[in-house]
Amino acid sequence: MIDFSVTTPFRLVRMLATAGYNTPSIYLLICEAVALEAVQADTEAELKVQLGLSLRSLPASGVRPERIEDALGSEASGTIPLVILDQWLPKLVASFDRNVVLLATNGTVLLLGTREIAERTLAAAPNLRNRVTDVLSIRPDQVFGDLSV
Amino acid sequence: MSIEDDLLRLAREREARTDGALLEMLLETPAQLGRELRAYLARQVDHGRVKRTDEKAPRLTTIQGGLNELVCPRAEFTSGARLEFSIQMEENQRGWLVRRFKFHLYLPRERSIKMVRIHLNGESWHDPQVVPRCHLHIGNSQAHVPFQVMDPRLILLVICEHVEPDFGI
Repeated sequence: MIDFSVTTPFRLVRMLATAGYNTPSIYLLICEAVALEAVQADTEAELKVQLGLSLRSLPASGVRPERIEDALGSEASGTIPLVILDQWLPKLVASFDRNVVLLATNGTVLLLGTREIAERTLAAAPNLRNRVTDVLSIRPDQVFGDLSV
Repeated sequence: MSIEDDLLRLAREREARTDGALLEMLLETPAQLGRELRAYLARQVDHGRVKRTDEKAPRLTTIQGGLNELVCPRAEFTSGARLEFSIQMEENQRGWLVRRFKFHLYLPRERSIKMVRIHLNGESWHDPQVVPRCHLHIGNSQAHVPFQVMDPRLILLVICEHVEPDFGI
C-alpha cells in the first residue's frame, strides 16, 4: 500500500495559490469515507477565503461518461470542480482515462474519494495516472472543529 | 457644567461610539474569521514577515457563556517579535459580534519599545476616562490609551504591517 503525502484543505489551497489554479492540473485526493463531507466543506471555505473562488462539487454518479467535458468545463470562471468519487464507476473512470486531456483543460480539477476507489481508479486508468499532478491523502482541518459552519 | 463633568460626558460619548461601532461590526461566523486570519498570517509568511505558517492557529473553541474564542498562542516574526492574540465573539439575532479581544505584540530586545498591547474589554469601565473599553498599552505602561475599535482583521494588518516593523526602532 502506498503512503501518500498528507495534506489539509488549507495546505492544498495554499499550494493551488502558489502553483496557479488556472494551470491545467488534476489532484487526486484520498480521505476516509466519514471525512468526505468535512473535507469538501473545508476546501470550499478555504477556496473562498484564500482565492475568492467557489467550489463546484459534482458527485461522480451524476457525471455522464460521454459528457465529462460539459460537466467539468468552466461555465463560469472563478470555480474549481471537485468530483466526488462516491462509488466505483468503471465507465466514468474509463472515460476520464480516454479524455484525460479534456479533464483539466480549464484549470485545476479535484478528484476526491476513498482510498479503495482512488486505488482502483489509478489501476484502471493509466493515462489519468500519468497526468495526475499529485495524489494526496487529505484530512479535514481540525482547527475549527464542529464550529466550522 | 464643570470641566470635569464635561470631560466625563465626552469620555462616555466616546464609549457609546465604541459600543455602536461594535454593534455594526457583524462577522460572518467565528470559523470564517479564523480562516481569514490564518490566511492573512500565511500571506505574511509568503512576504517574509512571519517565520512559518501554523495552520493550527488561530484555534476556535467554545467557552463559558456560549462565547466562541479564537486563540493564536504564538506567531513569530522574522524580526524576532512575536504576537499572541485572542478574540471572543458572541452570537445575537443579527449575527456574530466581537465581544472582547487582546493582541499582545512582544518586540525584539533591541527595540526601545518592548511590548504593545491592544485590548477590547468585555464591558465599559465605570470610569471611561481612566480605562476606555478599547485601548492600547505601550511597553509596560499602565496608561490606557484610547484606541479606535476596528475589525480584528484590520488590527492584525495594523500590527503586522505598521506596528511590528516600526515601533521602537
